[in-house]
Order: sequence, then structure tokens, then C-alpha cells
Amino acid sequence: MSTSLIYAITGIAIAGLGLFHFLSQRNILRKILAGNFIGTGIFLFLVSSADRQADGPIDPVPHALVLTGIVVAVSATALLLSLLCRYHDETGSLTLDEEDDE
Amino acid sequence: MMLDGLSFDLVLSIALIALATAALRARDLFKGIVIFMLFGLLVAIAWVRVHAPDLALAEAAIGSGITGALFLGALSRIERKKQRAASGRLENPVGGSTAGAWAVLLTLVLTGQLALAVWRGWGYSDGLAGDVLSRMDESGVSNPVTAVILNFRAYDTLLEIGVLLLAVLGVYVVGEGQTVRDRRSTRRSEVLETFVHLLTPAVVLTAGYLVWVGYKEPGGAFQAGALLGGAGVVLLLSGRELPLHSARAVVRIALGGGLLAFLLAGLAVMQDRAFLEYPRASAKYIMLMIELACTVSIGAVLTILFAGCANLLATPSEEEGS
Repeated sequence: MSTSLIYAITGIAIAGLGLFHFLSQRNILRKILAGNFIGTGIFLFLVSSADRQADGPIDPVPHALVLTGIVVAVSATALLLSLLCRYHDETGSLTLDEEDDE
Repeated sequence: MMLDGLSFDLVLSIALIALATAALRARDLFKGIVIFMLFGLLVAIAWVRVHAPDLALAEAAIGSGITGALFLGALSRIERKKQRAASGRLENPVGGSTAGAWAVLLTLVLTGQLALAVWRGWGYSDGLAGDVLSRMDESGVSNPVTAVILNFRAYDTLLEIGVLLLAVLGVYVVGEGQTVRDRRSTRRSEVLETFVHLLTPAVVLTAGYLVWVGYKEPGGAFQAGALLGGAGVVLLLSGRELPLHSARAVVRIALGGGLLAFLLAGLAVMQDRAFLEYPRASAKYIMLMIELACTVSIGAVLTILFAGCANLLATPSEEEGS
């Protein structure tokens, strides 16, 4: 057991939790929140993989990828949330179901 | 017994998974978002544990701060419209339906594949570390992450700044041109005013330091931009009038400056080199210039994105006044 292995497994678990809720929940705001958990889980997995050898060098490429990834994730989240708010303004609904959930 | 590194990692991992579960399953969505922000702070500690302090800085500012503010802004906007707290209802996750079965199946496939990858290849290679570290002296900086972001993989970062700009354009398209009746009236309080007065200059100073120090220590445009974005969000929340409209010249310069500086720097070296291939002697200064412009752009982008989610881009209707 090494530190990086623990966090890689944690990352997988968080991505899995996020994916499951992303697929199974109907409320879009909850889907976006779940999407953020998928992202963070994948980031955790990726960065742990940069630190696999206990005494070896740390790979800076995944770090750079994830750093830009964090910023892209927040901008994608903001765009999704604005679209959702506008959708809610127009329809009054927070799901994509045909029949209204209220 | 003393808490050693590995047991700390185990405790933190369990806490992360528990918080993720709590956030995703919270009945009240507001509660879920607050737990998500707490989760972001703990992830920042996890970044430190896997030797990624650059990410810890960005995560603390963005993952827990700005993303949470975006969600809370959108939630309050939806709930104000709805006037009843039905938005936070938990859907039954596995209802025995085909959709639930698909969700379980896909989740198992993804986690299974990732687990298999860990099982087979962990501790096997050191990736691209050797390639990057052996060429550090060509990059002009001594922080490997900064070298990758702004020199070795500068293309990626250039396009990423473009993606940020696209997201802002999308938010403008969706948010501007509407009119709102109930612009939230911010209560002015002495404590908040003093806090903002003290905080904002300190944040700007810290951001400037982070950009400068990025060449040798953890830091750089993304972390500094995230801090500026956080300051922008706090200013908006305290009721300050910031220039937000897309027609304002200052907004356009702030938003587009990073991409423009990046492109110009890339083109300027093209007389006898490839695009974005900086000459070794001046690489450090070119990268610093790009980073300064990108810091302002990222800060402006994040502020506008929050304004979009909190419906601050819409024009208040005439009869209510501003």
C-alpha cells in the first residue's frame, strides 16, 4: 500500500459514485453536481498515477493536465448552470422529462 | 499511537468518499452543495499528499470556492423563481427500472476498468517525468509544472484559454438581454464592507506574488487567476457595481487579453522558430508576460461566469429601478 495507490482507489470510487448519480438522478442541477464529482475523481486518479514510485521522480504532465482541467471544469459547470437557469425560466422545470414532475 | 502518513491517507480517503456520498444523496440540495465545498477543501489536502501543491492551490480557490458559489448562485435563482423548496427533492436512485440498471452497469464497467488499470500497471513506469526533467534547462523556468503548461505543452494551454473564452461567450448569450424584476437587494453591513476593503487588496497582492513565483515554486496564472476570480465574486456578492456588460471595452480587453497575448507571443517568435517555441534566453520573460495577461483574463472569466449564474448579467427592468 502506498499513498498514491490509496488516492487512486479513492479517485475511482468517487468517479464511480458521481457517474452512478449522474445517470440515475433526474434533477439536472443534481446531475451537474454529480458531474463535478466524476471530474474530481478522475483528476485524483490521474494525479496519483504521476506519483507511482515511492522515490522516483514526479511526472509533471498529469499535474499540468489536471490544472487546466480544473479550470475547464469550472467554466463548463458555469455554462451548464446558466443554460439550466434559462431553461428553468422558460419552462419552470428542472428535469428533461416529457411529463412535468410537479 | 502516532498518526503516520498512510493512516492519515486512509482516514482522508474515507472522509472524501463519505462526503461525496453525503453530498450526492443529500435530500436538501443546498446542504449537498455546502458538503461539496467542504469536499473540495479536503481534496486540496489530498493534492498535497500526492505531491501536487500546484493543484492544491487551484483546488482550494476553484474546486471548493468558485464552483460552490456558482451552484449556490444558480440554486438561489431557481428557488427565488419557484418560491418553494421543491427543487431539492431526491429522486429515487435505483427504482428497479431499466435506467437504474443501466446506471449500475455503466458505473461497474467504468470503475472495473480503472481498477484493472491500477491492478496491472501500478508502479510500472514513471510516465513522462524523465523527458520533462531532462529538458528543464531549455524551458527557462525551474517549476516543472509551469514548464509543461507554458512551454512544452503551450498549445494545450493556448486552446484552453480559448475554451474559457467560449464558455464566457455562451454565458453571455444565455444571460444577457433578459430583464429581471427582482434584483436582489444586498444589505449593506459594516462588517462585510470592512472585510471586502481589507480582503481585496490582499488578494490582488497574493495573486501577483503567485504569478511571479510560478517559475520556481507552486503557483502561476491559473492559481492567481482563480484568486482574482474569487475576489471578483466577493465584490459582486457585497453589491459592488463591476463592469460586466459585454459591450464595455474594459471587459473585452480583460477577457480577451490572455488569448491575445498568448497568440502574439507565439507569433512573435516565428521569424526563425516554430509557433510558441520561445528562444531559450528570453523564455522566462515571455512566459511571465503571457501569464500576467492570462491571470487577468482568468480572473475576469471566472467573475463573469459567476455573474451569469447569479443572473447579474440581465438588465433590471425599469419600474423597479436598480
